[in-house]
Amino acid sequence: MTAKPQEPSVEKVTTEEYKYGFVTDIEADSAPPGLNEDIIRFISHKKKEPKFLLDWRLKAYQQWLKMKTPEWAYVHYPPIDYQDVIYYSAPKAGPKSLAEVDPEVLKTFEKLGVPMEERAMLAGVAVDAVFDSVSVGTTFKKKLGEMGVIFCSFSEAVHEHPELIQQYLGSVVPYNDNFYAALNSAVFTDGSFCYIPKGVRCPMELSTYFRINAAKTGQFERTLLIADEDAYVSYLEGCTAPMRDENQLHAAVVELVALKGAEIKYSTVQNWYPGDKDGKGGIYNFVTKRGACRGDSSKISWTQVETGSAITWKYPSCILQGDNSVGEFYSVAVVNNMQQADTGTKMIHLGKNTKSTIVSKGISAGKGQNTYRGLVRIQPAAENAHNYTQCDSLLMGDKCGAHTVPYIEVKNNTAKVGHEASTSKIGEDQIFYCQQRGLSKEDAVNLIVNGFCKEVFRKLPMEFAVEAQKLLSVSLEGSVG
Amino acid sequence: MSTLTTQDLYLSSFSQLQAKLPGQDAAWLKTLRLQALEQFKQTGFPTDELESWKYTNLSLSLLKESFTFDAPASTTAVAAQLKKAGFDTEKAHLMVFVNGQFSKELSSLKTLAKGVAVQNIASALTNETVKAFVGKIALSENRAFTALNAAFFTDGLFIQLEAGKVLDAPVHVVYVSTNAGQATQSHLRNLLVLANDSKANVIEHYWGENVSAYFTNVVTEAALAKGSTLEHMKIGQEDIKGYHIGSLIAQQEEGSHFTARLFSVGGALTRNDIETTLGQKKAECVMEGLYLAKDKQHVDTRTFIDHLSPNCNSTEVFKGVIDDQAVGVFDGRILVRENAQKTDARQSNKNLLLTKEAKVYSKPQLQIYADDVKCSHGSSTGQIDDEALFYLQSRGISREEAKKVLVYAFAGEMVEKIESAYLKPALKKLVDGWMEVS
Repeated sequence: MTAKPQEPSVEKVTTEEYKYGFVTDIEADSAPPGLNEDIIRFISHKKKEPKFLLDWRLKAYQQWLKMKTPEWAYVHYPPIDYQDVIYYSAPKAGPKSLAEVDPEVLKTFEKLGVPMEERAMLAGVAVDAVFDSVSVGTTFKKKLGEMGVIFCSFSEAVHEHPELIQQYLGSVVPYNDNFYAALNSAVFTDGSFCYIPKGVRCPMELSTYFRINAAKTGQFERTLLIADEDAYVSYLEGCTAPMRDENQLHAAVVELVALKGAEIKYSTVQNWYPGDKDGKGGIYNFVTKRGACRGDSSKISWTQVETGSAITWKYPSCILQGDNSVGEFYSVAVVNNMQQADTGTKMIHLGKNTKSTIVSKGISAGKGQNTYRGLVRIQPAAENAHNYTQCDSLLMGDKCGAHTVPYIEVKNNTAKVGHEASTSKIGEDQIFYCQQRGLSKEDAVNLIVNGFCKEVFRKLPMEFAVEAQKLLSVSLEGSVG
Repeated sequence: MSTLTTQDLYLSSFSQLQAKLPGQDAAWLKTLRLQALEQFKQTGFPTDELESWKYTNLSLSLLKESFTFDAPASTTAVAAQLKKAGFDTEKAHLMVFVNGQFSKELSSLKTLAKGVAVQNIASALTNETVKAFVGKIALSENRAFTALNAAFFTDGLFIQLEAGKVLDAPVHVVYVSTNAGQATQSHLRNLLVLANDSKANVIEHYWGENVSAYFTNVVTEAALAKGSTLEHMKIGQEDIKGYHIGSLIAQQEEGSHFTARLFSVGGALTRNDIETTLGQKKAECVMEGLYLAKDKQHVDTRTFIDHLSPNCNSTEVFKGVIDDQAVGVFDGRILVRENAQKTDARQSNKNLLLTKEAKVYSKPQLQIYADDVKCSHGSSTGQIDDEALFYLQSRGISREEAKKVLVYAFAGEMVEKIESAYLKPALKKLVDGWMEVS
């Protein structure tokens, strides 16, 4: 009888080096570390911004000074020295076309598998790739331009469409919304801007790949996406980051506006560096994401797969203002090793016949801590509002944690609000069944976890669904031993 | 009156009252009271910025009032009232407290077996058990009302059961507030100590009659030793002018069973904290409750089950019916600690809103640090099903009557769950009575 090949041990997989850990060495044109009004003026000047934006940044900064770090989330980390962060760094020469893009940068994208040029064409994806803080290339712009779709970097939009920026910037996430949003408003360097005109169904999935580079640089993206009446867009956001010893701060803001009859589908796969097995390094991810269903019958749908970051603090929310508007939140959050995630959503029902659905799947392994924190609020005017919430947690290992903290506020009796949550581990019997059918233990766990997350994966665009499943198996391999 | 001055009022009253409070001959209690007062001084009254008081703003209600410590001596026909309410008091040990003071005349205790003590706590302050437990289960740190209670309590219930003893009849304790014109307050401290394999059935029953505004602040501590069983029922029937803040805090040892039930119908503002620590393996706890609120009542229920040890079970069901402009709050937390493998914890909160102005805030939380567990929670909020209403009407039942049938179908479940023949008819009457008036 031949010896059965050894299954990979927990240690082997959990000690596996971060696959995408590499640093591109390009000369960064950085601001000195620290934050004060001068740095903000420096950023604004570097980006040649109009006055209204600088004023807005300064207002946000003044507000930020008065605010305190939120401490209610179940995440623990040493206090961040905001004066030790570099708030601006950009690749040296501003690229005008792809040919001018630093080959190092392009190589980085290649390593990441970002579809650019032909690859972009083949993948059918328009990419507004963010390298550190300055956009390096935007494809498919022409095709989109023909339909009137604006999809560009935020700084470009500031110059070319200042009226839209002025109208919508901060209209969903005001500069004084919370500590991190205020910080972002003061120092954001770039991001994506997207406008879908009336009645246009965006022909392709729009996608931005973020990548954090340049040591010690916090990333402060700002995304603004507007779908005009009866427009439709599906937007993908995906992230990987290089290996690093210091904790990197990330405080992005995403604002979505859906006008009458519009639909926005926003999908995220987040795979930033989670830190090593002792929790050293890793990204601190404090993100404010919010969508406003302004018009009647509009719809915003958030789908997220969160596998990375040392700390995730993120609550993509929907404000259902328009009558008959719909908000959705589908989430898979995975924590392993020392990762901590406190994530969930807010559904604020203001309009009549508004509906929201929340499906959250949390997976905890290693010493990870996973929290679902959500709010469902039915305001007095929201007649016949419906909400359904389902939060399931899966625990793998006896040192991890799974927590559920829903807030349910109902101020109208015609509302129907339901919340269900369960917590369990993968059953020995389930694994045994798969194993006696010839699956390895690893495969059995993968199969079960994928089944557990299926409801959410189904909501992802196909390319993302594949990536997400792969990410999940990498993140969790060997967690059950 | 602002929070600060209300707090100052309590701080300054203490030095005058100190000498009148029971326990002058118990040094430990004097120390405890002083410590609690210090803690209260530091904590101050909770504001809605505190997570545990997020949905209950005291500065608009309780803290606006001013209550005197001088309770008038009154008598009231408690036994007759209980009869009317459907209690067969002959089958229970009856203890009555009026405005925070024990009333021997109104109470009627049956003969107690050896090893069973049922008395008012003010008469037991030199008892070593009392000394060992008071303030040790319900801690005053960061809890303004518990601290206030420790500093100011005048009396309360004390039950001690020695190993294996069973209290055959329920202990029905009535706390009456009757002040006829003076805004009064009472601070009551109850202590229930159950030794191994002992068994008790306790009913805390609060009501107000012939009153202007009053404030009842009660803390009940319960220690359940190995294999003991405590059935606890709290009936909140405070007057519509009454403010009620109460905590029931238990500690459970191996294999103990704790049932905490709550029926809350009264009070302008009612806040109940029910907590237990499943400190040793195979302990079990059941928490059930029904809160009914109408007019502008505010009823806030907060529960916490701490699964500290493996193989423990907890079941929690709370239901609320909110009418008129009333507000219902439910905040339930289950904590499963690292060690607590094989935990089975279930929690459910259901709310029925009867009007457009009624509000419900529900916050069921699971906090889990162990993997081999079965935990679930659910929360739902809705209104009376139109189709069910239509069906009943189509059968010739009036709309009003049909509504009552459906509300009772929802709320009555909590009554039906009760096995005690002593309680069941009275609680059914209570729920029926509430629906009659609303």
